[in-house]
Amino acid sequence: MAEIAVTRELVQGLAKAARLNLSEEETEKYAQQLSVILDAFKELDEVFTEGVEPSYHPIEITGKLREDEPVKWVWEPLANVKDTEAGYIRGPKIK
Amino acid sequence: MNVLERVRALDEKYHFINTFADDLDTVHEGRLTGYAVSVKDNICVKGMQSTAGSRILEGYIPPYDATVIAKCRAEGASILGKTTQDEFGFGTFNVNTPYQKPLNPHDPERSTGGSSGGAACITAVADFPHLALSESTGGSISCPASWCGVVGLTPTYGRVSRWGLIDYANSLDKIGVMAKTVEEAALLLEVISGSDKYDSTVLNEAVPSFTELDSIDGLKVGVPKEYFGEGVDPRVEEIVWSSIKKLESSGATVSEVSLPHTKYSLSSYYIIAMAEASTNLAKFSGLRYGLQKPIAGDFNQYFSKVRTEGLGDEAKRRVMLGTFTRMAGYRDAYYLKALKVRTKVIEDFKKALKSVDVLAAPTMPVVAPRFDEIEQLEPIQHYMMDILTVAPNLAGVPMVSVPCGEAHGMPVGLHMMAGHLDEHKLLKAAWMVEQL
Repeated sequence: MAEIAVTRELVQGLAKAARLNLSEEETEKYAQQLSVILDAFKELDEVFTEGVEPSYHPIEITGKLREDEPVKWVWEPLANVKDTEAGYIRGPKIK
Repeated sequence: MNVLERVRALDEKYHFINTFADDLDTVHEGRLTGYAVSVKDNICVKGMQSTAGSRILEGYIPPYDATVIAKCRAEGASILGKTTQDEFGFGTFNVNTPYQKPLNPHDPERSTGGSSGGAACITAVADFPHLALSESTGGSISCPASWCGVVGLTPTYGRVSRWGLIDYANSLDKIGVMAKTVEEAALLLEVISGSDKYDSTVLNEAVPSFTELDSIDGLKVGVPKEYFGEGVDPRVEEIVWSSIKKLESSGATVSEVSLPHTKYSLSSYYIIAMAEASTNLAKFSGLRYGLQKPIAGDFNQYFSKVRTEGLGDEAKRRVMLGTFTRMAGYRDAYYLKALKVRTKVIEDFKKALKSVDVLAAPTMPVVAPRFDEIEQLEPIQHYMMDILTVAPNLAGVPMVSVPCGEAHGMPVGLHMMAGHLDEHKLLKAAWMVEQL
């Protein structure tokens, strides 16, 4: 793993991608913490993994799907929505 | 005093519940009749607020029961409420919560452990028939079970349906159980195990009669050398060894084994868990359930506002780290590398378990720390506390923490691990420890 300089700009970029607003103080704090953590992750470079397959799951997953048959939907999908209009969820405007 | 009143009285002292049930009604008769079951807050119970310990899900009332809940109800269980946890399971001390922190019943100035702190706490103090549904991603059942002195069992990945679980990391999450005894843990596991048409990752395997418990003649116990020594409190080691020696005296054979990639399991685990968490938490946008604010600004401004307010400090840290390790340019070096190291960790367990039935080690390197000690720790030091539990969780093997004595006046857990789908053997070995 390459040396990563965890700058304030990088942290702000990550926060933006994750839809989080950070104050100046938080940006500073996370930059310092992320730097220490990412640095620790570099120890994985010591493990020889050439030719090793990645394990996306710990066991073999069949991923078998159930038959595609219609079932009656008994839940109320909008029960937890506070802001509805005519059976729709109201959301912010798309720019 | 009825059970719910009793739970409220105990909760005033120890703070283990996020949401109480209104009543303990049961419709069916079955193997869990008479038991009140507590449910970790990240498992959905119909009509009962389920927050996964996060403000962003405050007010969320699931319109359905998770598969494990439906199975418990069908066997006569009543659901008593939702137990407190670290937000989304992000923690080892159950201090990463916007709600009240649970207090260790053995010393209220100490942590219960996490992330299933509430589940372990109520299991320890319940003086009525009780079982706990819990969940582990990297050690969230074993750790608090060990620190609160109860039995905590994490099954093989895929043994139990995850349908209705609020995901942390899909390839690591396992619903499991806590109880005062191995037999009761076996009972609840037997009820919740098995295939489910709603979860394509659940294994289509027959469920053994876990509650049939007896001794295994000539039990072969492997002691992984990497789980002792540096970083482990000598008093904890001493208690764990004395338990292993007692097993040996009663006829088990004990030998040293090696899990050479243990050291790397921590980084591998955290990279994978954070990457998966960052995608899972992307769905919380403050529109369909949980925290919702008056609509203002454009989509991104609104989502950012809700997420900034609703997610805690550790959740933000993990989401940002997970976003980083999946980013173009870094994905191969971090995420893919971690998945390859995971393969090596799985191979370690398969190899070690070829010559022995179970592995035995300390569950946690220390006893439950005090809250003032935890406050001094940096995030990376929180992660390092999981060094003994992340490897079996990465490998998806079943594990159980069994109380085996006390050090510094606090409970110590013996951690036993077995091969994939070997829960029955594991439970029998744990039962043998309990009989010592």
